[in-house]
Amino acid sequence: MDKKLLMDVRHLNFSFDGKQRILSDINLPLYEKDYLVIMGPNGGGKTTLLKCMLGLLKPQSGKVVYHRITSSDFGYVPQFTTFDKSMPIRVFDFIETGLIGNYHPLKKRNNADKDLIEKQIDDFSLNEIAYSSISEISGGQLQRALLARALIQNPRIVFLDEPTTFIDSESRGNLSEILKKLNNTKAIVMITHDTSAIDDQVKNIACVNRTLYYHGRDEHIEGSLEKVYGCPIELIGHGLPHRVLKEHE
Amino acid sequence: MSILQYEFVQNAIIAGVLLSITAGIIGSLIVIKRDTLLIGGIAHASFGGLGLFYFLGLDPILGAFVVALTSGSIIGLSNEKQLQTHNALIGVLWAFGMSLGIIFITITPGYAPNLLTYLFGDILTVTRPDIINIAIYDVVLLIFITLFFKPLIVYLFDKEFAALHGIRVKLYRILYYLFISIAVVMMIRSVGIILVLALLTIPPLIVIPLFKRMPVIIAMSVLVSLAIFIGGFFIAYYTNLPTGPIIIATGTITLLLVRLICSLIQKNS
Repeated sequence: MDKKLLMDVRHLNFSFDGKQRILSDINLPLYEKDYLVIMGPNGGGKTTLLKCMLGLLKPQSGKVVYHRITSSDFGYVPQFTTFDKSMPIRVFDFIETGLIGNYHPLKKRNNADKDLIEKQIDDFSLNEIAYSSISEISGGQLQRALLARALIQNPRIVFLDEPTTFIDSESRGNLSEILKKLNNTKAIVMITHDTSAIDDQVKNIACVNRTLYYHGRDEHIEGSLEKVYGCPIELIGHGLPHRVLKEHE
Repeated sequence: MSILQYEFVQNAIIAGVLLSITAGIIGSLIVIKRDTLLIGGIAHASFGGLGLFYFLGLDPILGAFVVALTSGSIIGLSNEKQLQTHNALIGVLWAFGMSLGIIFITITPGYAPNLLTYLFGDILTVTRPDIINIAIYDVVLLIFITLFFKPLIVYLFDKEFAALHGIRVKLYRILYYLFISIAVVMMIRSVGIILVLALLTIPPLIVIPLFKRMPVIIAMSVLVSLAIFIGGFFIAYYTNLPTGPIIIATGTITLLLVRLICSLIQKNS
């Protein structure tokens, strides 16, 4: 392939306590400007795979190889459930935590940092709630704040874990637009168990349930989804070749 | 006011001011991180160490210190997610520590009057060396929190994001639990094991609904803590009632009043 490889997962096996295998023999490439969706049922190991890709979890065997990238090239939008929404922090300060990688105890926030934060607030239309606490804002607004935080350092790859779960349909539309624009310059990796989150922007789909069932994008997708979920699933995306809902066996 | 002439009163007030700084900062962090139960476990487990050292003829507060530091380090090094789901185990640690303490006191020959003061504390027994220890602790804590406030907040708030951005999560966790364990032991002398939790949690509980930012919450918790401490101290002095419990009662009544006023204002607006 002529596409530039950013990262590839090679023969990755993962288990939490050495007993139950969460992921087995996963092989998955990620290309520059890729739009990869990792699908699969809850508990199938999607988030674990994402965390291995981010380097937050170490696989028992196999590896994740980075090609001329480091973790500072990653922008991460975690699931809403991984952090405490009741934390007293304003949206402005929350977005600032995206700069924590550059933190030095004797350096105060300078004007360049402030400009960066304000630009993110503008870009993600968070002006009205910039000085509200994150516990007071809506799911869609929180999602945009999370994106603003993840993107403040201009990462090359954006990882999103179940970004559509707690947001309304209007915010979903917005998110889809934002991701489309981002994909012009960045690779996107999105986890979801929600098939309606897949639209025609998506370039590759990986179906993960303990192991990888499919990677790529063609008419085999439905069969793979059936294997992963155990029942036929209709894909609503416009660009997909088949939309016929098959009967359950 | 003539009572200020007494050295023990002066000591008590200085200790109150210094401990308000400790309680305001540490209390805000543990309430925000929802570690209250865990800290209660550490405080009560340390009673076991207190009893053991008393039995051995050593300084009891040193025993409490050893147990608090050990349990704080174990918690700091173990899996946080598992710990928080193990509330029952914390309860066992809590009860076991108290029981051990009482067993050791019982088997030690002679009456142990001063051991009871460790349960409820007595700010009037605080000495100059105690004050120096608390002052050193406060200075170290203030330097740490000033220099590393932002990464500490990211650690408390979103550990994975912190780890991804190169924050040494494990180091922050160990430091966090060490600071807490030492604070708990220092406070045992003044307000006692049973009341440590109240003094740590009441000021932030009063302040948190009123403010949006962590630095403000910490600063206000220190001030509220100070007001409760000084207010409770003088009420106890003039009513001739035990200081520790009066301080906590003052705090609890303040908390209820503030919450009541807040909900009345919210209803009317």
